Amino acid sequence: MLFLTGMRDGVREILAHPVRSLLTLFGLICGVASLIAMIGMVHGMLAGWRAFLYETGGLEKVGSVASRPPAYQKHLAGISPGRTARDAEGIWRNVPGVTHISPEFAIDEYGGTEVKRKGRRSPDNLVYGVVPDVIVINRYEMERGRFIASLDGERGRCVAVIGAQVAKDLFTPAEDPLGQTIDVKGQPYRVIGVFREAVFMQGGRNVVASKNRSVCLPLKTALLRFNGGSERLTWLNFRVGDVEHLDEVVDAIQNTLVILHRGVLDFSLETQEERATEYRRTERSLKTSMGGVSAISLFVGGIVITNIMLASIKERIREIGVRKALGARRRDIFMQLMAEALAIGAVGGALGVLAGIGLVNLLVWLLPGQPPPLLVPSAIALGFGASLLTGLIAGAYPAFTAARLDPIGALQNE
Amino acid sequence: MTSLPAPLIELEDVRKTYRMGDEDVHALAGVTLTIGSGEFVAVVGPSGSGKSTLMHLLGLMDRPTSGRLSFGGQDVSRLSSSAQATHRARKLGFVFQSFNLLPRLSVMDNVLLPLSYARDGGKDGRRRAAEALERVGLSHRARHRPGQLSGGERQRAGIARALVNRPELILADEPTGNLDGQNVERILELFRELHSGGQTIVLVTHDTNVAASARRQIRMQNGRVAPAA
Repeated sequence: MLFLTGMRDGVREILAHPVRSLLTLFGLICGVASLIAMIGMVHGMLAGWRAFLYETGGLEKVGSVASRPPAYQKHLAGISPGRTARDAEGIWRNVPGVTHISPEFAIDEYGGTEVKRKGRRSPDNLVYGVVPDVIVINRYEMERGRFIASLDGERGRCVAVIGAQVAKDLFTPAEDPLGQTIDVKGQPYRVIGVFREAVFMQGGRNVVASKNRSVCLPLKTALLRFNGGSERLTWLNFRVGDVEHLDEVVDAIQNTLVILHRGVLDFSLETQEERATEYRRTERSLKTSMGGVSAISLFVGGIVITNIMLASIKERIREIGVRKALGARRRDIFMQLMAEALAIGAVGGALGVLAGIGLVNLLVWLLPGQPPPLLVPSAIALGFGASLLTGLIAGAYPAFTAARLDPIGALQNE
Repeated sequence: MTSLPAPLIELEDVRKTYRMGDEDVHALAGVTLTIGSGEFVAVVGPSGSGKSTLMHLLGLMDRPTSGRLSFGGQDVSRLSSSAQATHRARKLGFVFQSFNLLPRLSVMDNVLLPLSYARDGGKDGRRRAAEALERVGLSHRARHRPGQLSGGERQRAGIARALVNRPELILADEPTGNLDGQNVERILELFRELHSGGQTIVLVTHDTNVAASARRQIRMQNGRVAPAA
C-alpha cells in the first residue's frame, strides 16, 4: 500500500517537472535504447550470417582450391596431376566422414560467361560442369524439371540446368524453358531444369543473387568440350557428415590429397569455420563496444538520478519531517523513495524502449546494404529491467539519506 | 478538584542536555509532571524556556538524556526510533503552527497519511478520514489541494489529520501562530469541543490569551516547570 503510494508520488514528481524529468531520464533512455539497438544489430547480423552461411553450404562444406606449392617444392610442381576427378574418387574411397563430393569445372571461374538464345543474351554467368552431389553441397533447389543425373555425365549429354536469372534473361514469362536449346559459347545445350530463385535479402540487397546466374552442365561434358579433355578441376568441394568431427575429416582429406598429388602441396583446403570464427569475433567486439556504451549510459543515467533525487529530497526535507512526525518509520521513508526511484526507472525504461524501437527502425533505414537490425523481445525486457535496476541502485543512497533524517531538524527546515 | 484523572503522561526528573561546542546546554533541567487523561493543558513560557524540547519529548521525536517518561503507564523514554514512530502513528496527533500539509496531496489524502503509517484499521480509513473532516467542518473541501484553502481551513485540515487515528494525545505547537483573530477563536473553540469530548490535548504557546483557553497551564522557565503563580 505504502509502496504503491510511493510509486504514485514518484510519477507525480516526474509529471510535476516534465523538463527536469526528461533531462534526468536522458541517460537512462539512451542506455536502454542503445542496449535494444545493440542487441538488435547483433541479432540482425547473426541472422544474416547464419542464412548466408547456410546458403553457401554451411559449416559442413569443405572446399579445395589450387594454390602455388611452397618454394622448396617449386621444381616438383610438374609431377602433380593437379586436382582431377580422380581426387574425388580417392577421397570417396578413403575418407568415410565425407558424405558428398562435388568436383567442379568452370568455363570461367569468375562467372563471366555469356549464354545466348535466339538473339537474347544473358551475361556474366557461372557456367560449370558438375556432378549430382553439387545440388546438396551448394544448396540448389529445383523450380522446374530435373537436375543433372550421373547418366547425363556418363553419356556426355549436352544438357543444362539454369538459374532463375538466366531463365529470365533468355525466356519470356510465357515461354517454357524446358526442352529449349540455349547457346553456350557456340554449343547447343538443352534445358532440362530451372533452379528456384535464391533470395536472401540483406538491407535491400539480394546477397546470394550470383546463385541465380548459374548454369550447370554435366561434368564430363564440360571437361570434354571446354577443357580439352583434361581432367583438371576448378573446385573440389566436400560435404562432411558430422561438423563435430570437421577437423579430423579435413586432416584425412588433406592426407589423401597429398598422396594423390605425389606429395606436392599444390592445393589448400578451406572451411567456412574460419568465416564463422570471424563472425563470432565481430559479434563479440560489437557486443563489447555497444554493451559498453549502454553500460556507461546507464551508469551516468544512474548518477544523474541519484543527484536529482538528492536535490529533490533537499527540497522536501520538511515533507519528510512531517511524514516522520505522523509516524513514518525509517523504512517507510526508505521504501517510499525507493518506490519513487523505481517509478523513475519504469518511466525511463518505457521511454527508452520506445526510443530503442525508434532507433532500430532508424538504423534499418540509415544502413541499407547492411544486415538489418532486429527488434528482439528479450532485448526490450532486458533494457526495461536494466532501467528498473538502475533506478533502484541510483535511488538507494538518496533514500537512505532521507530515511536517516532527524524528524525535529527536518520539521524546522525552511 | 473532586476526582483526579488517571495519569496519561508522567515525567520524573526528565533532563535533556545538548552539547553546543564546548558547552553543555540544559534544555530541560529536571522536569517532573503528570498530565491526566482528558486534560487540556497549555505549556507556556518564553522562547528558550524548554517548552519546545518538552514538546519533542512528549511527541517521542527525541529521547531524554536522563529521567523517565511514561505514556499510559508504559516507559517510553528508551524506545527505538522505529518503535517511537509506531507510537507516534498510533497514539499521537500533531498540529503544527505552519499546518505542514503536503502540498501535492489532496486534503483527504493528507488526512489519510497517519493511517497508512499506523498500519491498522485499513479498511475503514476513508470513512474515518471523512468523519474527521466532518468534525472540523471541512467535508466540502476534501478533494481540494491545501493551496486552495484559507489559513483557517488549512489548520482545521491539520486538526482533522491529527484526529484521524483517534489519538490518546493531541500535541499542538503554536496552532494559532499563523492565524488571524477570527480564525484563532474558531480553532480554540474546536480544541475546547474536542476536550469536552474527552480528548487529551497539550498545547504549546507563548500567547497568554491562547493559553487561557486551556484548563491548566504549565509555565516553563529555564528548563524547569515554574511554580504556579
